[in-house]
Parts: sequence; C-alpha cells; structure tokens
Amino acid sequence: MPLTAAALRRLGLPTGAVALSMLCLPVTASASELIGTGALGGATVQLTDDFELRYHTTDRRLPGFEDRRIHDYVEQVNRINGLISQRYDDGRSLTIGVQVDEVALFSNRYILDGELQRSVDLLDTSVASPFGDALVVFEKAFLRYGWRGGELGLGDNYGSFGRGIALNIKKNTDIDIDTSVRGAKILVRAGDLDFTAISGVSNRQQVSQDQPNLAIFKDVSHMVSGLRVDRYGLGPANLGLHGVVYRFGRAADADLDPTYRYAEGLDAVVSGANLELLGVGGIDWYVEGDMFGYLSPEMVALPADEPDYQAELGHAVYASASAYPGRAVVLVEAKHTQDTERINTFVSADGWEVATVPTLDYERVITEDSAAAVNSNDIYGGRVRIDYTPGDGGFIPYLAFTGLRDSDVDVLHFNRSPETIVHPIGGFQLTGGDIVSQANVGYRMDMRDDAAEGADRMVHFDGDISVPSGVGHLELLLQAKQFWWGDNGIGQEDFLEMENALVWHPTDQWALTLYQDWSNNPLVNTEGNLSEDLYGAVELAWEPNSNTSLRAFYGAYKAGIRCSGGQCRSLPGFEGARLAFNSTF
Amino acid sequence: MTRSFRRLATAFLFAGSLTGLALYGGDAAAAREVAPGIELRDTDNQLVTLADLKGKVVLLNFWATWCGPCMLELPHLQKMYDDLKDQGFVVLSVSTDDARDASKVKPLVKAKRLTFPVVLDKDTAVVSQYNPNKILPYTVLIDREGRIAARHQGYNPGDEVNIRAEVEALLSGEGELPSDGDPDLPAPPAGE
Repeated sequence: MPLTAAALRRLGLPTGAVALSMLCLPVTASASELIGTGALGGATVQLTDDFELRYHTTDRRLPGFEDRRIHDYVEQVNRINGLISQRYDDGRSLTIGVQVDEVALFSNRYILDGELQRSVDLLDTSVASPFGDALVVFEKAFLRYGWRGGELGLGDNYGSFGRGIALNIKKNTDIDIDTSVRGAKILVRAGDLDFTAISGVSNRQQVSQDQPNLAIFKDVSHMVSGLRVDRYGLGPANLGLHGVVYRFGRAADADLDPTYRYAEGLDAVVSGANLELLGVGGIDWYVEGDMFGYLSPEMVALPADEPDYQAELGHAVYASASAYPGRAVVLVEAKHTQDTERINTFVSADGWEVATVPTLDYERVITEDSAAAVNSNDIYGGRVRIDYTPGDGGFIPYLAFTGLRDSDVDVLHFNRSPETIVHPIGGFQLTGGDIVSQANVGYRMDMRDDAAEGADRMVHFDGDISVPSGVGHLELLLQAKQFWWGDNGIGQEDFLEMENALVWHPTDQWALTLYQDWSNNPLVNTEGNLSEDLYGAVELAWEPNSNTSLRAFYGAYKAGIRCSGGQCRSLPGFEGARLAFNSTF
Repeated sequence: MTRSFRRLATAFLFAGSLTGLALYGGDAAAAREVAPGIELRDTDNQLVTLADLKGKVVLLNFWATWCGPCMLELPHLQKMYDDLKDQGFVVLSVSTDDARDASKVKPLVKAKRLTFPVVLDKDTAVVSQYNPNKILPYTVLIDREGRIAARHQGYNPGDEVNIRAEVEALLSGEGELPSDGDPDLPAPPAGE
C-alpha cells in the first residue's frame, strides 16, 4: 500500500506525526564523506539528533470529569543539527550548519459530544502550521569560511564585544535560550589588528528543548549592527573600541519583512572602549567603559509619540584586576552601571537580552529578589575572590565577598528604598583521589535604607561528593537555600528550596539517579508530586557508546528562577514521564 | 484503541527507530568527520588555531568556570597532558564562559595550575559547531589527521581512564579506539 495520507488514516496513524517522522528518518544515516572534486569534495557530514518525549501529568481535574486525567498530554520534541565540514591543506576551512526543530503535542484536546472541554495549545494565533498540533522550524543556518587571517560568517552568527556590555548575543542553552543574529559577520586579522563587523536581524529560537512548548508566538526580529577593532601587542597592552546600533521591532511590525528594520530610525546606540594590561606590576588589568544613547522614547518607557523627547543616556564601567602571589590567586572586580538595562526593553519579555553587564554575584543561588539587582538600572559595587592552592592543585579552598549598592527601586525590585547588598561565600574543590568533592556556602543580605523595610537574608549551600561504591561509584549532589524576606510590601512568606540528587554509576554506561526537590516558595507556582512542597523523581541513563545517550525520567521537579550568562529566566516545573535520546552520527 | 493512544504509539515508534538507527550509526562511524576550524585567542590574547596543531592528537575540551563537573575533570586533563605531551598530545581547552565572565578564566587557570592552552569562545561561535547543545563538559578527540575520533558528554569520576586509553590508541597510530568495540572496523583513511 502506498504511504499516502489516506493510507495512514486507514491505518489509524496521525498523518502529521508520521510525516514528521519521515522527515527526520532519512537523516539518521551514519557519518559520511562527500565524494567529488569540488570545494566540498572530501568534506564530512555530521548529524546530531536530540529527541524527547514528555508525558505531562497533573492532579488537576475538570469538574464533572474527576475520574479522567484529561489535563494530561504528551509532547514530543526533536532537534537535528547538521554540519558539513571541510578543511583545506593551506589552512582554509569551510563549515555549513543547519538546525531544524520539530515539536508536536498529543492528547492535548478533550472534546465531548462535539464540545471542546479542554485544550492545550502549541501555537498562539500569530503562528500557523500545516501540521496542526505540530510545528517544524528551520531554526538556524550558517556558512563559515575561514582563512589564515580571518573568517566570514553568513546566516546565523553570534556576537560579543568586550565584556558583553554593548553586545552579547550568544547561545545560552543552559537556560534554553538561543538567539542569533541572522545576517553577516566578518573578522579580519591584519597583523596585530582585528576588525570585527556584524550585522543582521535577531533570530530567536522558537522551539524549546527542555521546557514545555506552549502558545509559541511569532518572533519579532530586531536589527543589530556593530563594529569592533582590537589592537593587540602594544607592549603589555591591548586596546579595543566598539560601537553597536539597534533598531527593535515592535509587536505591530511582526508581519513586516525584518529587513525593514534597516530603513527605520535607530532606537539605541552603544559605544565603548576597553584597555587590557597583562602582567603590569604582576597584575592583569582590564577596564571597559560604555556609553548608551536611547534615541526613541519607548526605550525609556515613554509613549512613542512623546513630544520633545531628547535622547537619554546611560553608562557602564567595569574593571578587573587579577594577581597571582605565591600559591594564591586574587581576583578583584568592580562595576558601576546607570540605565544600561534599558537596552533590553524590547527583548527581556521574550526571555533573552542583547547585552549584559557582569553580575558580580553567585548566579547559582539567584532568586526572584536578587534577579532585580542583576537587572538593575542603577548599581555599583565589587567582588573579591581569593583562591589558595596549598599542594599540587588537588585541593583548592577559596573565599569571596561581593558588595553592591543598588539604588534602583523600579519594576522588578521588591524593595521601596535603595539597598546595600553583602554576600560572603566560601568553598573548596577536592580532586585527585578516589573521592572528589566540591562545596560552596554563603550568606547574602540585602539591607534597605529604610530601616522599617528591614533586610532580605539568605543562607545557601551547594556541593557534591563522589565516592567509590562496591560496584562503580556514588555521587551525592546537594543544593539548598533558606530565604527570609524583609518587609517587601506584598507579604511573601520566607521559604526553603532544595535540589538534591543521588547518582549511582554501576558502570561507565549506566547511571541511576534519584532526585529530590523541596520548595515552599510561594513565588514557585508548581506543587510537588509527593506532597505540596516535596518533589521526587527517578532517572535511568544509558550511554551505549560515546556518541549516544538514552534517558528515561519519571517524577517531578520544581519550577524556579535560573540564571546563566547574566540572563535570568523563570523555568517551569515538570511532572510526568520523559524519554530523551541524544546521538551524534 | 483511542486516537491519542495511536498517536502516542507512533511517537514511541519514532523514538525507537531513532534509537536503533543511532546505535547502528554509532558503531558504523568508520569515516571520521573533519574537525571544524578553530581560531581563538587564549587568556594572554595569543592566537591559537587548530590548523597549527595538525600532526598532533588533540583533546578539545569545552568547559565553563561555573560548571561543577568541569572543575573536577580539568585536573585529570592536566595529568594526561603532563604524561603524554612529549608523544605529540595536546589539550586544547575551550572556555565557553561568556564575555562578562572572561576575567574569571585566567585566575581559575592559575589556581588549578593548568599549563595547556586555554582559549576563550566568548560568543559561542566554536561550541555551536562542535557541541550545538552546549553540553558541559564536552570532550572531542581529534586524530593526527585533524579528524574527530571520539566525543564524550559530561564527566563522571573514572571517565578519564577511558579517555586516556583512547588518546594512547590514537598516539600509537591504532586505527580504532578501545571504545569502538568492533575489531572489524576499518581504519580511517590514511594520509589525508
């Protein structure tokens, strides 16, 4: 029987899902070499596939249908990355890459007697898909041609200047963010000079690999163009200069061709310079300053037709110094920023940022409260960290102290008066023997100027230890934080959060993990599967070879804020079962 | 049988197909991929290129200062580098810390007494080619011909033993790695 849509229907198989499967199956062939004498003759093809099937469960019941789990649904995500690589004898290289994502929902609607009782929607009204409750997105495509002295990138590129204060668009899959600049990027090296130019429109990844894909909305792209010059080898000094311009798309522009952004007026201009001195006085120095010009009133939360608007300014200064006396390593960092976060006005709601200033905080324990300081428009402070290596590097204890003064009380801030933040941390890393371990413990206090507001306080611990067991080895990972609110005006309750795991690796190929989360944080909107605050899960992982892994998960984990690369995102929790497969061919 | 169940069964069928093909594909990967070019600056702003390392066995390791397992793996890589560098082995360590954390990298390298080259991939241009999901740590073994011989995701204590065995096999010119597991596999093309 020919494999037509009608035939599939007779077999009772969903045409959309099978069509998608067929789309994916041909690419699971082994790694291969392209045959020929042209530019790609002898080039190799590499494919990476990430497949995940998630069964979302919930205790919610529809009134009148308490005996049925009609809120449960199934989600399937597949991500394929393809890469063609070629290298020539004279050092030139050519790389062509693509990323195709596919997502589908199953059992996501409940219709009784012709009436829709419940619906979980994959797409909102701004996105249409010929596959119904499935979507295929050609997420990324790039060509990179490198030669001795430079590189040209066409398609999806990433860009970062200096310390990322003016431009920092990069892959941040740690928190499921991958926004690129679709256009062109060129790097030319001429002696000790590097010239980098990038221009294009932003391309936000539509399909999430790790989070539920619900109500996917159309990406409104933004124009980004920048130029940077680096001068190396000025004795111990390196000098950098850069400038970036932005034109942000408005929601009303979603259907316009993205290239129209080039014809519209600029929203923001950022220019900066940095100086790096290596080994001067035994210290490595770095200092960078950036000026922000906001040319349109919407950048500073004013109406677009605000009369007599004059461009407003912002600025950032960041400096660091590292010294290596004896067995110690000392790192000192400092920053001052004023109205720099406004550069992310149009994109932060979509969960990503075009530029970020170093946070100077321990991001593993950032909470809803401290995220406000990360994204503050008026903050200064510094951090000192001292590592000491007494032996051969197998044991390294450290102490760190962060002090910040945050005068911004708008939007994300829970405090009504400026606050001073202090955050000492200590810890160690131990490696070398059968037992490997690391731990960090700290105490953070946000003291408000208005004594009546009190102070937010948090004590936190995270660590892990791996020890040999009778068969294989055991690993225990612990993370906990206890938070006490000051008077924040809306009366949240103090909370304890934990994320713990016990892992048994009986062999190199197998791992069994027990997860346990706890949260009584009222800002976390999930409930545990073992009790209201307690979450439990088990996962079995199998890696039959170094290119392939298969993971089966059952249980629940909590929602919560997670920060990486200067960006913070509230990630949803999960309850149900999950099967994940990853392979490189 | 409900329509939802059929859909679910189809999805599992799809997953199963991929798994089977992957296992087949993993063992049959006789033709090694060309390692994409790398041109990055190290912690002292010196330019390091993969092309300059041709003829050596390269262990490419992606890590970040905030990555706990990476911190545990790095000392083992240093030990491997100390023991085998005279045989034509080099560790090329790629920090995937983004630009705002760049000041932290060299102090960490000093504290851990790492002596192999550490380059900075601040805008994720290189990691997006080798390791598109940015799994950390992530290790890629590149043979003397500049082709990818093996990959390893994550780090668990003891992994360094297997990686070292693979490195030694590549250094001794063996066509296949201990992890390949199939003695009938042909050696990769020579002289390319």
